[in-house]
Amino acid sequence: MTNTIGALPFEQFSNFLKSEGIRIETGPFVTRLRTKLTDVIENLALLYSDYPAFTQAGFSDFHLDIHKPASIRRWIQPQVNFTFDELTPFKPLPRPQAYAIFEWGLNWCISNYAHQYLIIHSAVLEKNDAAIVLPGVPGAGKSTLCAGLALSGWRLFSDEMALIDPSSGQLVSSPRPISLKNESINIIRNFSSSAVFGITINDTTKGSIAHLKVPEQSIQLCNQKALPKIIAFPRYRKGASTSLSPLSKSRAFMTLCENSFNYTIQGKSGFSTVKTLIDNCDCFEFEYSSLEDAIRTFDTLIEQIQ
Amino acid sequence: MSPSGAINSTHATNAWSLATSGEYHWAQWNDSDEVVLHFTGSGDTYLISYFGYLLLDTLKGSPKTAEQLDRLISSSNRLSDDLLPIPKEMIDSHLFHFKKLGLIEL
Repeated sequence: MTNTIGALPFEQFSNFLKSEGIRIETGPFVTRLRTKLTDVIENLALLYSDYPAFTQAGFSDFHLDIHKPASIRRWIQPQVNFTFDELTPFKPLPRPQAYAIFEWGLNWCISNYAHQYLIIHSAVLEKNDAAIVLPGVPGAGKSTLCAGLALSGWRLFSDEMALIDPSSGQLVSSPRPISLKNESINIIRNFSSSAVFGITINDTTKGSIAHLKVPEQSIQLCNQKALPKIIAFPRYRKGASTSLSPLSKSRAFMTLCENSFNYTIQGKSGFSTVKTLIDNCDCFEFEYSSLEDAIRTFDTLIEQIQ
Repeated sequence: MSPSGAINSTHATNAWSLATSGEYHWAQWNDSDEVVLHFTGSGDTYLISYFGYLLLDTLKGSPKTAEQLDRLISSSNRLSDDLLPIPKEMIDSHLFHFKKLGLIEL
């Protein structure tokens, strides 16, 4: 039956994960997950409590298994493996990174297989029926800004991937916990008392990471698509004044292509989709150091767009 | 082929034409002179200067030599007067570059 994960007794949730698996719905995707790892189960129970889940068999887009490799490494420097449809696409990671490998692995599945969408490495949020697309290279401050906006009344579509429906040009919502790194974790902890974090995972290739729980409303409304109105390429620079500078649409086009996971796979359709996206949006470069100022800037901008 | 070799060949009687291996799809906005081109023959997308766009656009329809391109663009009123006359090296370097990208052919 369908339920949210939070509505399932923890023991039942845990038992399903350890046996036949549980199917979790994150917007347009259903992921069947199996794991026996307690830290992963507990983190999922916390961060995914508001997501619909199915305990009975049925269609799943991705079949994932997070488990310890069956080798001597179980006892010496234990590791964790990510399995997708019975394949193991990555080398194992140190055991404490088990939850991270689930989130990273699911991102990998979507970006490599969900080619019904044009996918851009970007945060996406919506307010007043208008969506902003925030593409950014790692370290640009995209996730921090995204978390700040999501905790300030904006509806989260995604922290990692803009999913664009080529037939309508609309953005599709698939909100998942926001991955914050290093200093960003405390910035967001101090920014909002309502911020809920999962476990902090240290010593990853990205440093320390922790995942921020998605506001419940973003999950409840995730079937509602939105038209993009603003594309802003954020860049955090310590001490910088908040600055929003217009970016030519042709330059924005090329940068979006560079940030896309599957633009080249989509061919002519990808070109048309990006062109429509750019046609519909005002494009900017955005530099900031103050999260509060950044949020005010986007609040004002979205009101002006209306 | 070296750039100097291309210069010699473009100013001979050789006529250039758009590549037949794919379609040209353009995106252009009024906030800049630069134009985006997607060429289905290679699957690649390029950011092209306005002059480069004029060259490719002028090649539509029939093959043309570098001299013909020069004459047609110069008389088209699509290039501001301060950019005229068009340096031959500018045409040659664009043609050479476009040939390397597979966008035009002799």
